Amino acid sequence: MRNILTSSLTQLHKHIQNRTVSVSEICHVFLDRIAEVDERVRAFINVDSDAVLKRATEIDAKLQKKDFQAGRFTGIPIALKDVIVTRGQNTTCGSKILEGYIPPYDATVVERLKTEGAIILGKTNCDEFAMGSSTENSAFFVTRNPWDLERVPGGSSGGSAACVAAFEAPVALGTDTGGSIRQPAAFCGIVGLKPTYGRVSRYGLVAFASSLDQIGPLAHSVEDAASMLSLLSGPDPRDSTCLELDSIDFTANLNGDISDLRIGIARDWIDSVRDPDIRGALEKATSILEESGLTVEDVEFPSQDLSIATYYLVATAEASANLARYDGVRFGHRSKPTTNLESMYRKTRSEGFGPEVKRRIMLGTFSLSSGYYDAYYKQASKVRRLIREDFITAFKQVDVILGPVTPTPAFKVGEKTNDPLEMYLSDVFTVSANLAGLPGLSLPAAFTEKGLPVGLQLLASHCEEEKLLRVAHFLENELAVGKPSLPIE
Amino acid sequence: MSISRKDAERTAELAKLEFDPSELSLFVQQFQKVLDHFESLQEANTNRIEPLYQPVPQQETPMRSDKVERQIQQEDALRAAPSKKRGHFRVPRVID
Repeated sequence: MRNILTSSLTQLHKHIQNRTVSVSEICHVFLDRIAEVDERVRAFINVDSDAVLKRATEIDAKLQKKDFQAGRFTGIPIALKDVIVTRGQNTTCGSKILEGYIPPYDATVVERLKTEGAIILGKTNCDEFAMGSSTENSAFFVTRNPWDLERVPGGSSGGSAACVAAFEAPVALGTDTGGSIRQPAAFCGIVGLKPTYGRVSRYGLVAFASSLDQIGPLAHSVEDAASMLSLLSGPDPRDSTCLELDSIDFTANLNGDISDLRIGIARDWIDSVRDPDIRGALEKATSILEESGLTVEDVEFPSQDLSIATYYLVATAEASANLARYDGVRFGHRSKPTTNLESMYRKTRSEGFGPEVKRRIMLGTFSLSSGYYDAYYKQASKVRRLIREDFITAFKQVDVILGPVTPTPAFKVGEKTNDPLEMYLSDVFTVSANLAGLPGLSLPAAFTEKGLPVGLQLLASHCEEEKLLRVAHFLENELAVGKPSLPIE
Repeated sequence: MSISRKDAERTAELAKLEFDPSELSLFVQQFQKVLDHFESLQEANTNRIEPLYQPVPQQETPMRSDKVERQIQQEDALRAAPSKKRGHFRVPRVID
C-alpha cells in the first residue's frame, strides 16, 4: 500500500472515483502509518481513529451507489493544525489553557472540507497559539523533523509539515502569521502556501495576530497545494476581512506558459545567506529561469532591515489583545481556588500560558501601553507601510519574486530555545509577506549533503496566486528534486 | 530604551499575568535584548507616513442586513465553561 501513501491528491481522487480503492482502505493506510511512525515524529496531538473510520465507511456506502459522483475531496484524509476549531473535537492551540476544550462550531475551512466529503484525520501539534518557529513551544511535546529526528520540523505549523513529510497524511492545513507555513515546509521538504491576506476565511482560526494570520495548505506538490487553495478560498460573511473574490480552480493553468512573466531576484536576501546549500539552490533556480528566456532582474527592499522589529511589535500587540479572552470564565483552564475575580484572571493566565506566550503578551502590552505606544506600536505600523511600499514598487517591475525561505536548513532541537531573539531572527525572510499581505510559497529546492531539505520562496503581488503557482509548478518540474526514500521507516 | 523591573511589573499588571521574582529577572533581561534590537525602528523616517493596520486594500467593509442568521445555542456556548449555574457563566464574587 506504499503507493497509496505517496499518492497525489489527484491520484487518490482517481482511486476513489473509479472505486479501485475504498476510502476505508485509504484511511487504514494512513492510520497504520501514523501508528508506525508517529511515536517518533510526534506530529499529532490527537487522532480519532474510530471517527475517521466511521466517516470512511459512510462515504464508502455512498460510493456503492453507481450514480454517486465523488468530488475532488470526497474521502480524502486531511490533517489540521490544532489552532483551527472543529465542532465536537478537541482544539488545544498547543496550550494548557485550552486543554480539553471542545469547540461548539466548525471553522469555515472545516465546514468547506466536510461539505466536500474530506475526512479530518487528526489535529497536529504546533507552537502554543502559533507563537514560535520550531514547534518546541507546544505545551505538550516537541515534534521532530522526519528527515532527522534530532532536528526541529520548523514552526509554528511543525506538526502539519512533519505529518505530510512523513507520509502520515496526504495533505494538511497550517496557518502562517510570520512564516509558519513556509518555514516548516522548507525544513521538511514539502510545499507550503500562504495565500493573500483575506483570500481564505479566518472564521474559526483561533486568533494570534488578526491582521497577519492566514490559513493555507502544506502538501507534497504545487498541484496539491493549488487544489487545496481552490477549496479553501472564497468570501465568507462571517469574516469581514475575507476578500469578495470568488474562488477559482487554481490547478487549471499550472502548465500555462510563463514566458510573459517577469521574475525578480531578492538579491540582498540571497547575499545575506551564509549557508552554501541554500545559496546554491537559489543560484540554480535563478539560472533555470534565465535559461528559459524569462526576464530576470534584481529587486530591492530598502526597509527589509526593519522587518523583524516591525513584525514582532505588530504581532505581539495584536496577540496581547486577542489573548485577553483567556480569562477562565467561558472556556478552558480556570485556576482553583480563587478568592476574587481579579486573582482568578491572573492565576488562570499565569498557570495556563507557557513562557513564550507570556513573553509576547508582555511585549505587546508594553508596546501598546501609555507612554510607549507612539515609539513602538505606532512607529512599527508606519514602518509596516514602508515595507509594503517596497513590494508595491517591486511588483511594478516584476510578477514573481524569488528568494530564500530561511537563513539555514532545520536546526537542532534545543539549539535556540534559550535565546528568544535568535529564534525571532530566523523568520527574517518570511515576515515581510505577512506585513504586506502578499501570497508566498515555499518550494523544495534541494537536499544538503546531510540529507536535510532546502526550500526556496516565491512571492507575488496581492491576489496573484495564479501566477505564483504557475512559476512554482514550472520550477518544481525543472528542479526535479527527487526524494531519496521515505524520510522515516 | 532601557526597561526597569518596575516597567515589567507594571506591564504584568496590565496583562493580568504573575511572575515569580526569578522569572521576572530573566524576563527583564530577555525583554531588554529584544527592545535593543527594535531600536533601529526609531531611526526610520516616518514623517508624513500613515500607519498601516490592514495590509490588503478593500473598497469598503462588507455589510450584511441586520437580521439574526445563525447562533450558537446557549447550551452549546455554556458547555465548555469551567463553572456555570442556571444558564449563566459563574465567577467568583466581584463586589465584596
